[in-house]
Amino acid sequence: MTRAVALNDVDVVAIIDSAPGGGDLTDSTALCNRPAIDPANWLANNYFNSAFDYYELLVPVQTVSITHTVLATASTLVLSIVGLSITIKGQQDDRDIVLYAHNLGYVPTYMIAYNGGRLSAGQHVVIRGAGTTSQRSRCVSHDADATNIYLHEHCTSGDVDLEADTLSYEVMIFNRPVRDPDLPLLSYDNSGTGVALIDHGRIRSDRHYLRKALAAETSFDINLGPTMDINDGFVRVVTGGVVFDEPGYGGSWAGPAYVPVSGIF
Amino acid sequence: MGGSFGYRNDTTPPRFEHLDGGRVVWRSDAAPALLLPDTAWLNWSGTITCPDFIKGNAMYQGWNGVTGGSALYQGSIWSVMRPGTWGPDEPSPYNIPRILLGTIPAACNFIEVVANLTRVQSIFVFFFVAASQYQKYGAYIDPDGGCIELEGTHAWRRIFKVVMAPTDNGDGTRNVYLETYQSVKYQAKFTTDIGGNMKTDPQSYDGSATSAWYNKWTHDGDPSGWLWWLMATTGNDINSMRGGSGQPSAADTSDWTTQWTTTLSVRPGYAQT
Repeated sequence: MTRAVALNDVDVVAIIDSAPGGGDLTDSTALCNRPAIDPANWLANNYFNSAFDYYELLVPVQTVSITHTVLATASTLVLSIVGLSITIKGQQDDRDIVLYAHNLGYVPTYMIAYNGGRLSAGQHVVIRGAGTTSQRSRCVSHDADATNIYLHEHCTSGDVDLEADTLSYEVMIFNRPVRDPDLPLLSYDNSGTGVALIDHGRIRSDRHYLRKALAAETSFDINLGPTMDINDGFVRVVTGGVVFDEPGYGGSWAGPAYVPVSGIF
Repeated sequence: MGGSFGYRNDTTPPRFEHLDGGRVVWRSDAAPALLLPDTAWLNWSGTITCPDFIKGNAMYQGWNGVTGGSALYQGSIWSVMRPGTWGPDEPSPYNIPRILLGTIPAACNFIEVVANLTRVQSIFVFFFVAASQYQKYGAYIDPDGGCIELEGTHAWRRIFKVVMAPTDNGDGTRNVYLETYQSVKYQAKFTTDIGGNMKTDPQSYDGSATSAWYNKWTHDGDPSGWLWWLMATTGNDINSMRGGSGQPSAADTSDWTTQWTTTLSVRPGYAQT
């Protein structure tokens, strides 16, 4: 039976399926209430539990267009010995790009979406002329500090310039709200338009949380396993079922299962 | 209409829902993805080691001059990186043992990882070019799926993954591991595009047919892999071919081992399926 539980003596509010064993539904020591009291070991019985943290969106999803600039070709004579001279074509460069200034004063949890999937930490978003002397590429990772979310770009040119690319990224930054000890487990703020508050005001109806997507909703995917495979010298990234191969990848890995989530758009 | 939290029995099945007007904040059949609290995080600090690759060698004898006249001869020896894939389930010498980071509740179905990496030593250049480094050292990275692409060239890559064990331990817990992988692309014969041709057999000088050596490459018995490092060259020496009295030393002092000081924070999570 799915039911709401509010146990003031242990300061827990939850929506659970009862555990076997019965007992007084209002008794925090009853066997039926174990999913509420020990939620980490009864995850599948919990639909919501105030003991957990949730992905609360700090600001609306930020769609950011970045123009990745040109990297010129280059020609460098690296060796000249009897009967053999070698010239390297192209060069490489590392660039840090501010994707979003959050100015929080702490390092937040974040996610970045790119081209229908979650951006990996080291993903080739541009590869042209693969396998030729004209090969040029951009590999993008990302990171955060107390002020910004960054892209870290490693790019290479070939015997031609790496052209400029304008790419779109969606940035999601998540908050870690804290309880307000002056508020009860469940409350309602009827000022303004009205806000339903749970867990001492920590979970609020006027906020957006990453949650299982409903039918026809715009969604994003949480991957339930590793998103990279390496085979024959190169990497495949699969995120939310979207496949990004580095040219030369030699495997057939299908990628992880995933859960479509929404609630933040 | 403002926020609400309540129970509906006019739906099939009945459900609890937290609404903001008509917007579903979450409800029992659209549950919010959760992360376990700090006390359940796995925090790990240590060193990740990517082992050296397997290497052979190639030799080249260059020739400049006029047939029948004066000429210069110079030998060179190159390290050749052999193809192969390393990982926790590969046999020796390709095995890289996985590292147990700890355990999480068995029912967790995803993990959120924060990583901070710094490579602790300089790295060799690969065919005169620095290997590509894909991460910013000392930065806080939220890698999707716990996977990070570390470094690579046009011939190889290195990655690591933080993974949940596919099966639980039978005691309500599930192991979480750090796994390191590297792979060198298969190439049947190191390229001679840079000049010269591969010599036909014999690969080692037998005292005859000296003219067949000039501007030719030889291998050490296995031509597969990638020319990546010029180890040494000789002076002007007509016998500077493989097996000749002046061949360059085949001692390979290179070491592609890299080590990364790493801190990881693994946050167990659960998303309703």
